[in-house]
Amino acid sequence: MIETTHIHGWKVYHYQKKDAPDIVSIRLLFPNYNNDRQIGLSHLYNRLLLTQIQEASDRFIIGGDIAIGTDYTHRLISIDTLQEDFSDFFALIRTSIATFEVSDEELEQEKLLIKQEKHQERSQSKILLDALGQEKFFGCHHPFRYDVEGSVHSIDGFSPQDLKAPNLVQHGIIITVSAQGIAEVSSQLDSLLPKQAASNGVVLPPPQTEWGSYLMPYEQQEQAHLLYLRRTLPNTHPLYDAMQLGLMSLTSMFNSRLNQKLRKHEGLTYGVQSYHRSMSDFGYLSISLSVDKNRVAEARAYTQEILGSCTENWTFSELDIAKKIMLRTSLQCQTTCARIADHIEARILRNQEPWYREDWTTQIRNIALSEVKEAMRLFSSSPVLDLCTGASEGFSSSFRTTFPQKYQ
Amino acid sequence: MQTEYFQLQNGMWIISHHDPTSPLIHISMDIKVGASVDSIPGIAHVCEHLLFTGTQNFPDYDQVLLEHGATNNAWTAYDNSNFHCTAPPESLPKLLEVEADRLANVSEYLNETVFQTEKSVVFNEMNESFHDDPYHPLMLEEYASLFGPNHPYGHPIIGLHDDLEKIELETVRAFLKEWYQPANATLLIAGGFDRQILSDALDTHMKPLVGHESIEQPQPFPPQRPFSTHTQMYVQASYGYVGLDWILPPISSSILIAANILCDILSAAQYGLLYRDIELDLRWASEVETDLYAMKIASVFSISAVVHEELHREKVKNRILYHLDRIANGLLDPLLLKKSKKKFKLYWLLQHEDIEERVERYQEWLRFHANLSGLKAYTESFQQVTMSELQGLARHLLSTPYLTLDGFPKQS
Repeated sequence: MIETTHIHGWKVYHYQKKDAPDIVSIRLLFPNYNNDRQIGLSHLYNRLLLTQIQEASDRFIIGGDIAIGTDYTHRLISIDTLQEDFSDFFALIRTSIATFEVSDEELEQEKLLIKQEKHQERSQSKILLDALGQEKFFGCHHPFRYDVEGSVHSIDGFSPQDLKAPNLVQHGIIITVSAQGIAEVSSQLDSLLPKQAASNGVVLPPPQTEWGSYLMPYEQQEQAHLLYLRRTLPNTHPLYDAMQLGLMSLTSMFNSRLNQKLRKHEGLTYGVQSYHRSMSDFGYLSISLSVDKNRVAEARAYTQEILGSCTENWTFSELDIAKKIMLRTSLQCQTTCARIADHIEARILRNQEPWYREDWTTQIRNIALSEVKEAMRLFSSSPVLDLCTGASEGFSSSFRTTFPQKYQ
Repeated sequence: MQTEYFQLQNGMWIISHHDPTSPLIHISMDIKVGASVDSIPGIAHVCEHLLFTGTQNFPDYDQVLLEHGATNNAWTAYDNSNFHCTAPPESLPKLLEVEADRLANVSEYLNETVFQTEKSVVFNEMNESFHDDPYHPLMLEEYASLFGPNHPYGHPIIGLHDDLEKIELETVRAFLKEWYQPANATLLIAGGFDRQILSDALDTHMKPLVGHESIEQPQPFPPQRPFSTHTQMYVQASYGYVGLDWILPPISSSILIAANILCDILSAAQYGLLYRDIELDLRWASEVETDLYAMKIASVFSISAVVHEELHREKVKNRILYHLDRIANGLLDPLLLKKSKKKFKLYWLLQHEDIEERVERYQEWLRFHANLSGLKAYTESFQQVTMSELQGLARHLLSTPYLTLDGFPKQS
């Protein structure tokens, strides 16, 4: 893995996978997050850009997959292509970005489509509950409070003028994974990358969580959804890796404490899902599960009991399993160009320690049980945001009834 | 890289694919039992769940795998069920021991408590699907409408709520004993393993397994037309759904190569005719998708879209037929065929690079063919598809009755 700054100002990460077939995986990242008024702007821009790339590609015969994504802190372009088409594909994207222009009509049509999709989401109570959790966790001024697509209200406010800002190619990061060496890739990039200012990062404000318990009214269905959100340690914390191992054992493996109890012993759910994201200044964990609407109280009691006792009874066996799975996952990430590129991208987005750093494996192997216990003690000091929808009985008066603002 | 396949005396097929560059191993056990032989709709899928519930020797299957750094999963289709795991190479003997043990012993070790708990998990799985997709109830009716309720494919893989209620411990025990036999299994081991260790582990754990002979089900002819041509449903949703389904010949048919290309030409994200037309230009629909589900008795070619305004529903259907008609009349731009072929060239390279996908392709191929010799020619044949083959396929679709699925939002 080579990390360098290209003469044109781009930060370049190149991973040479010598046994790769004639393909190359490329990831482009543009650090950028939308201010409070502009939530959803990057996503809108990306969709319009993709359309323009598609239209511009009409005259090319290129063997490649392109995907455009929006993260909270970056706009992302992913390309997996045949080696023979690398230059053509890259030139196509570069030209599309440079000549990006959108008419009022095209903009309004795209806005309408996104709003229709937002409307579509109202049929899915799980999505609505996730949205409510996000709003309550991040608070009213944080850019993470809505998903990256924004709200109907924010989308309505965008003008062609707003789209000019993300149009500037700046602070770009490029990841390439192929059988080629850095010298060969670098010389190709000389003619493909435009000049730009050096890359810099994104600083996020801290969340302002409205801790508490919330009940989201929704038409009665067979299943109720439960969602729990908690703060986690930032990825710069010395005990961050120890906490990761603890969270794996608590929530994310087939035999995690939560899955063991709720699925295997009690048959209460198809599975407990968890999502953890940690950045340099804060992190968060969400735990979600769907349960029979008549067994909500039971499921809540077990979940709270397990979360409440997450500092207790840690064993060497649990730690050993978590380490093995973490190390195996890192090996799996190294098996294809696309997986390597995705993994490097994820590491950049989360500003985390990379598996390709030589001492990473040793660092994980050396984590002691006492460190996991201490990390979980720190994790458990966070209050819990507790949300539910699809059930109406068995909730105390401390539950506040509310609906996500984004969908109001 | 070296691939070997051979049959043990007990009838189990072994595929070993040695790739010393892989830091991991991939083990995949394919059992020739799926929803098409369900004695009660959904029972094959319930049995797939029960394979994870443990035996006397290994009461917690997942725990043993995790202790060896392995993660695992499984799925049930109409023609087969598959159990797979990925692990570090040194865990190979233990993983084969556990696989052999559950194949031999899981039905005996089952008890009523374990069975009812897992059945409850399956009910939860079924109910969750309704929440992920409001049109899931329509999808549950899709294959009954297409093949008729008495056809092996004429019910959903997961079954319906009432079917699941009827499944009892003794029924699943009998089903497991009938189907989970070495002679119905193909075991695939791929990756950077030591070949002597594999050979020893097969001798110790797989060769001693005994069972009855493989059961060959009589194969009904593929239906020529759908059982019903229209199914509609009103559901609690804020948008509509449109789907057109055709029955095509079984997986062994060469027409499916052209059908794969046609799927891509219609809906590919960069150049797909329907995507560019009804999604990007006309804005009548979103999530335009095509799918080819190739199976042993018959295959299903489907085109679907989400419609946001009811006034566009019939126009979307007409536009799908319009594009098929243009292809049938030789008006397809040859550039699109070239683009699609290039895409499949990349696709096969990507598949080959990923050892899991590479060997799953081997396993799928061996499910329907006697040996692997034709696989390379099959992947290369995508480059040989002609304009006239696509024209012929489009003509066939236009002249064959199809099933229309209409999902209406309740408020309309």
